[in-house]
Amino acid sequence: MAEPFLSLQGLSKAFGDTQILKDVSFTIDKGETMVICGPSGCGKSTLLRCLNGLEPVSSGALRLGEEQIDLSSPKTRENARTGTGLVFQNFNLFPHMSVMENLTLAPRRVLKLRAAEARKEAERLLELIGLSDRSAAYPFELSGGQRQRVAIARALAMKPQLLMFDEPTSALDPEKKEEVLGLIRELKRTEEVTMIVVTHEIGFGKNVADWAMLLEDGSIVEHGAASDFFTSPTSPRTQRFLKAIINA
Amino acid sequence: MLTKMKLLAATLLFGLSAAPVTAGKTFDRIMSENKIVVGVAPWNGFVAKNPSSGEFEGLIVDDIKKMTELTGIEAELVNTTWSGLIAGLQAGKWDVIMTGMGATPERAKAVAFTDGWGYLSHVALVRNDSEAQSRDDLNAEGNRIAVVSGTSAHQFAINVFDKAEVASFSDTGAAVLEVMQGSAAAYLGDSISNTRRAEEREELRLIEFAADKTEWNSMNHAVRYEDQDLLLFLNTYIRAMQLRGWYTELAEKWDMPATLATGPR
Amino acid sequence: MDYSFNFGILFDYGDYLAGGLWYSVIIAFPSIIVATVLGMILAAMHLSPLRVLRILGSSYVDIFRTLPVVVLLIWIHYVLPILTGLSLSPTESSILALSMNGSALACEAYRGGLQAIPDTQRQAAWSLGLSKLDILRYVIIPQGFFSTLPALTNVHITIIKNVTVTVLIAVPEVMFRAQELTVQFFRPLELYTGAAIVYVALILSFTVAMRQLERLRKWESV
Repeated sequence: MAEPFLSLQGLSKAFGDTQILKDVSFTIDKGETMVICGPSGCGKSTLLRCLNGLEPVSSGALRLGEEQIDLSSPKTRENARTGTGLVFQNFNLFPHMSVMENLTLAPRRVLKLRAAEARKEAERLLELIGLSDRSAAYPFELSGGQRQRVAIARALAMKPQLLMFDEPTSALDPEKKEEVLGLIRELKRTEEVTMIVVTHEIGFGKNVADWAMLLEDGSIVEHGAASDFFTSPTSPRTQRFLKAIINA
Repeated sequence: MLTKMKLLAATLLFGLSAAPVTAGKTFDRIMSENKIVVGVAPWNGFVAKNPSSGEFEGLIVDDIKKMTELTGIEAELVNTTWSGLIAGLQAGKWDVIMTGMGATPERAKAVAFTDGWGYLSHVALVRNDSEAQSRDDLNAEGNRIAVVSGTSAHQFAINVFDKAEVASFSDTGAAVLEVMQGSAAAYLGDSISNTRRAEEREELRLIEFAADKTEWNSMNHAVRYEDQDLLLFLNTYIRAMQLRGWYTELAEKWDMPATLATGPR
Repeated sequence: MDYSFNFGILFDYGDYLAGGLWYSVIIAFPSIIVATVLGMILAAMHLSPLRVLRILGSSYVDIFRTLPVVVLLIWIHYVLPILTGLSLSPTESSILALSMNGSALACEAYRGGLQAIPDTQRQAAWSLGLSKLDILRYVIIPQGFFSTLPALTNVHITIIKNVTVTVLIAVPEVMFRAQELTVQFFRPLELYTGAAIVYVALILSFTVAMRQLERLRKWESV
């Protein structure tokens, strides 16, 4: 049997005496999508940030395709930044740059693309997110949903092996939520990106995700195929959690 | 410190009269360049820049021009403020202060004064509606006497006004305004400036003190103590010009009292 | 109060008074430039990973921000020559004093402006793989320029106003000329009013120019 495309082994992180992540491990195959849910403060955002190489951790190894990254070493940890992409809850677009500049800055400076190449790829992504006509606009001129789509395109422009979303729809109203979730569904189909999505959208998890996980107090409570996880969870904790979300 | 200074001055004087003159750095430079740098502070009638021409004018400016005429030493005038005069001399910004500074024992601890070349007394400036006629009238409980801090008039006021309160200000403008507003009974200053000021402003009137109720001050040039040779040079000039009646001539030209050149009679 | 104003003096000698503006300008503007550049270097020192640079930067700011400009000016002009033999002209001493004080104030303006940029901007740029230098160049400085501008303009105005302090060492700027004319014509209130008008005009035109610079900003923060 072939090695899984992505594997995380024994990720632990402490902040002072508080253990935020406790020995988290999982694997995902190429092109698959995993949904992570859990109560607030369970460590799901921190998990994504650790995978992105933004936070120091006490232990943990990430294998991404051919690349082996030791997340616990400050030097190699930074390598995770280019292999993975992170879409933030509040988009964090650069407000002083046009949409086009937001999409081309990192490809030019980090991937060393020529300006024309970066533009071409940006135009392709703008078409994909349906914002071809807004390339000269500044972020403040866009709606929340449009901003989030640009943020997704900005992450995609770096051609990450793994694309992560930190509650991408929680800052949006219901109508715009669908706009963004539809785009993620579209990405799975056309771009074949491996994705981890932190979200409480059960419908999205059921229909789009391959895997699902419940995180609580930094530990994995339940982890399995998305279809089983959302329809017949084994752990009583997961059952209670999903019920609470549906009733909310 | 004072005894040390006296000792230093005495040694220098003795050394100068007994031994062949070893000229100081400043005097050497003045003689070789034929140029002396003079610190002045604006004083109406004595030294002030004419705003129309940009040239310095006044009694002291005439005196300096005369010195240049007689000795060939050109003077470069540097405009400063009264408070900056002594600091600038000590910092070497100018060689001599020529602005009619009064010699007092207190100031003599810091700079070396030449002989006096002119004399002033203290007079008071009051509002026209004031009833005061003499120094004793002004020295009453509840009266405030405005002076410019650090001037000889300031010291004089402290010495003689035991009932009135002495209030000091940083510049003449502020002190005179106190009188105009009525919050001070009088401004105490030098006889010449105050005479001119009273002529200029109809709201104000002069009170001259009786001969035994005022105090006289000399006007002098000042140099650094280390420049004893420059001091000697300037004293020679002053004494010679006094004998020639030069300062009486200047007082007449600038419409100032004859006592400017002679002092109290 | 019993004071008969006579603003005729401003008609007669207004041009002499306003002529002092030249000195106000040649002192204020070099000081503004030095303070702006040096302040930026000081702010960078504050952010430096090297402890010695941080301590140096913050000591400089603490000293020159707290030292009254008057004291600094007198010290540079009159004490420095005695200690070092370096004798500066009144104009040079003034530029030096206002630059030292201004750069400490500017440093604080920059620090405040940089703090106004949300930390998430740095995180987003870092997450995209940009180097620390690129983050500074493409993300922090372009945003910091505009977030710093209002506070920096205040520092510049403070520098211009502090030029009036240079009367103490007899720089013939507007305020000194007002004093000079007061001695001759006994009209302090009229002359100081004239000086105020000249300074207000100078500061207002400077403020208008800085507003134009703020207009260059085409974006808003989100």
